[in-house]
Amino acid sequence: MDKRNYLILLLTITLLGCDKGISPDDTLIVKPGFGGTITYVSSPPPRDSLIQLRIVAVPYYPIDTVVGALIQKILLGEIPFSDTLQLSSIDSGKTQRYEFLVQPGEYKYVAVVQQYGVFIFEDWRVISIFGFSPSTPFPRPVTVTVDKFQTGIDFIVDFKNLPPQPFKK
Amino acid sequence: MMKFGWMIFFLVGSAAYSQQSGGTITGVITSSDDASPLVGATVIIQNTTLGTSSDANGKFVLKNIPEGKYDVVASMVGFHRKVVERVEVKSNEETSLLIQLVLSPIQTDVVVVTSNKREQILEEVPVSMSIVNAQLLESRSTIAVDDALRYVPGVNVTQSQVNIRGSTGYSRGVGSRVLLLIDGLPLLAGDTGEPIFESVPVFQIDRIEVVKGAGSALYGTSALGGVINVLTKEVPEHPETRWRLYSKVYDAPPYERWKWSDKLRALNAQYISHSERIGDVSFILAGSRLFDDSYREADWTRRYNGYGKIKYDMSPFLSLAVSSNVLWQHRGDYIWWKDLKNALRPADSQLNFSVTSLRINSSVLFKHFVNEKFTYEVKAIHYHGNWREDSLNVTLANESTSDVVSMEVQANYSLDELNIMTMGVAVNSDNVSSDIFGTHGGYGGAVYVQDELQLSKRLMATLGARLDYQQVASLPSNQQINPKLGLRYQADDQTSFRASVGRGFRAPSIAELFVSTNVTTSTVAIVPSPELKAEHSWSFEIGGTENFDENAVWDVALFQSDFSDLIEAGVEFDSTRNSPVIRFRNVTQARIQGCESNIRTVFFDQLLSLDLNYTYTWPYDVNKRSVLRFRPRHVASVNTVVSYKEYTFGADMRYISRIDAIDDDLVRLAPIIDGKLRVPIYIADVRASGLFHEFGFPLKINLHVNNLFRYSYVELIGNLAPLRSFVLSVEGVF
Repeated sequence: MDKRNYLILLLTITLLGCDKGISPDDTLIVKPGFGGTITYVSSPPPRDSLIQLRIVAVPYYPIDTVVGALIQKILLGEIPFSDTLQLSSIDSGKTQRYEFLVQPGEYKYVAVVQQYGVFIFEDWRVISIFGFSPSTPFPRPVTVTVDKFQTGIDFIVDFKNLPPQPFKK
Repeated sequence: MMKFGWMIFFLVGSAAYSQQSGGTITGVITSSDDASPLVGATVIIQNTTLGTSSDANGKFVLKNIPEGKYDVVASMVGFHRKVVERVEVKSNEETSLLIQLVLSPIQTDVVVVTSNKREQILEEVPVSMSIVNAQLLESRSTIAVDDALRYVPGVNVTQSQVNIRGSTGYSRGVGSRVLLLIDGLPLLAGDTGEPIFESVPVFQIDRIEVVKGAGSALYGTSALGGVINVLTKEVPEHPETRWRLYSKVYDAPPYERWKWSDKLRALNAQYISHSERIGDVSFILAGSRLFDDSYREADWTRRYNGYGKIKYDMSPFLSLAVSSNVLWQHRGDYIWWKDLKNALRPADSQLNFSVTSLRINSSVLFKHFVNEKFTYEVKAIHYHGNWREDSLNVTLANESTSDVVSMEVQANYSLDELNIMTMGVAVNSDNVSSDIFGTHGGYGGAVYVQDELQLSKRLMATLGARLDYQQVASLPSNQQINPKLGLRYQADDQTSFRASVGRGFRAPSIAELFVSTNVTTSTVAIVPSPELKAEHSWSFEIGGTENFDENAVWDVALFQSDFSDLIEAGVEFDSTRNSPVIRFRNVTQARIQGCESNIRTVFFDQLLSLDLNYTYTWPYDVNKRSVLRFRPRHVASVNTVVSYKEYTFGADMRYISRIDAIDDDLVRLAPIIDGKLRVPIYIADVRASGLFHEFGFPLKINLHVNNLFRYSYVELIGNLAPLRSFVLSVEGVF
């Protein structure tokens, strides 16, 4: 290494050191996760069967999963579960934005789910799956990296034409 | 421990030994550069316990050497090691030697002992190793072993937990996938299985050897990711009193919002040691005191340390050494911050807690050079630990006492110059009495054998295996066989290649098996996991070293480790309690791949030296298909030193990429407010030192500025790392 390269290296590291790191008012740090829009294309079901809507990101395909087992994993934090979506924005033709912070990793099955009854361990259905459409009937995985908030993870919800349900009774 | 002591003395008594009035070797060691005498060069007679160092005129004397022909080895930092072969010694006669050492800008022929449990040149070792020598420890005024490891390539330190090539991550002090040794004997706490670095007498360290990759084929449990062997100083020939006064002042926080104290926060420490030889007996006595106010509230430390070592050279071929280190410590129990706006204050619940600990490790080493071909040693260590957590407000039942005894008989036999066998038998016992871990005992035994074969002039192979048996309480016993294979190919004088594969394991600690508490950092109980199995790993490595003339050395390695049954604390739903609980489980299958590059160079006739280190690791959880927790992907450092006469200026810079994944369960359940916050780490330390002779004795003054740019970062969830600090260290030798 000649003298010039050595000085460039030292200067680079010195400049990197000028970043002050964490501060008490830190808000600029990128938090890993994904976001996008949810577009509703049909009228919502009656309000008494619409307890809550959320987004779930499952690292595997939850085929033939007992819904209670999945909910238990969600409650224990093993499967990320978004905050409740605004129910005031789900009329036909409306679109709502969402943001979902998750750990970096690959999520093979990302879906919008609806609680339709009072039994929190049982009364759930999937109302939209990311990447799923009649022409491409497969879930599309979402990969989240540590330093990026991924956008464009959009859903279309048609309450009258639900996707295949992975849960077994 | 008494039993082991009697055994040692039995061996001493039965060893074939007769006092001989032999001959003498005298000599002068000089530099080949300008023929000036070299002060403090080490001279040893191979296959004996005899050794000394050169005086202020470069002279040395070795007396009472039995008649015969010996290889005399002279070495010194900054010079090539030199072997004077077959020096003839006759009774009552003096043999004189003039040894000239050749300058070595970058020393590569360093002697190491950890890789194969015998002395050999670093260049002969088939695995990646790094050395932190006493010179480096002194130049950085090191007061903590874990701090000394922060600049070792492939090593990352999270708080005080050491992680070699991504093996460990962070487990909040329970279990370690890196084995800590002191003079070749294990030093892991009996209850938690963690290394307690404060138990190492830092002022007595001669060097630290770091072996990377699975080392269980020679060292057994815990050597899953690597081995750290701390080697203490030998007693010099002449009486010596060393002392060090160390004072650190913490700078004010960079943000007014973080300021919590108007007082000057400081760390003051004093170290003193005296060593002397009286006839065939030599000893070291040492003590230290450390008072740290800390830069954080309720994070103070009061520590006292006493150390003693006595060595009896019964003959040139027999020695017995006994050493003991006592640590007493009282410290605040800071666990994590209150929140980001109060980053230097603990959570309110931790304010009035403290931990008092007493740790004593005592060891015995008996060494016998039977003849040129056969050497054996018997060694044992007793490690006692007691800690107690106290609170000003509530009565706590949180105390733990542990006693670990390890004993080993090891033999090295050279069938011929091309074939060296190493074999041994080891036993251990562990007893724990604890409020939260229960009262449990365990024991184990192991046999190991290894053969180093010179297959051709250029190719050396190492093949070995160890069988371990472990029994903990009434749980099912556990047997392990861990093999290893290493190859070293010397392509030419400047280029060598190495390859190795080895299996490692870690038996779960008593803490992981039996911890049971309802009072934790949160409302979640921790429950026992007696069904835990041992963790396993397979480590592979290929690497090479290229010497570019005398001015640069480049070492590079590609590595992969496959871990199975890794133990992790996880949250699960307990139907009997109808609530979540924390339990240790064998859950993770992981693969860690990576590469490591280390370039050492000197410029301008050795005025400037520069080390560039870079390690990339891809730590992947095969089960969860995600990145393993608490492992950075990129670690780089630049260490530069400018030396002019008796003055040295240095700068150390480190970069650690932002940790990909942390323990989200802990952040969520504790809860740790703003606990997910973390950034890449850029740290710069600078230092200057001078050696002065004006006071009638050598006096070294060191000045350091740590974290020069006041960079704020966390190594661990909710723990702001040390802010900028200023250090003055003064050392003297009488």
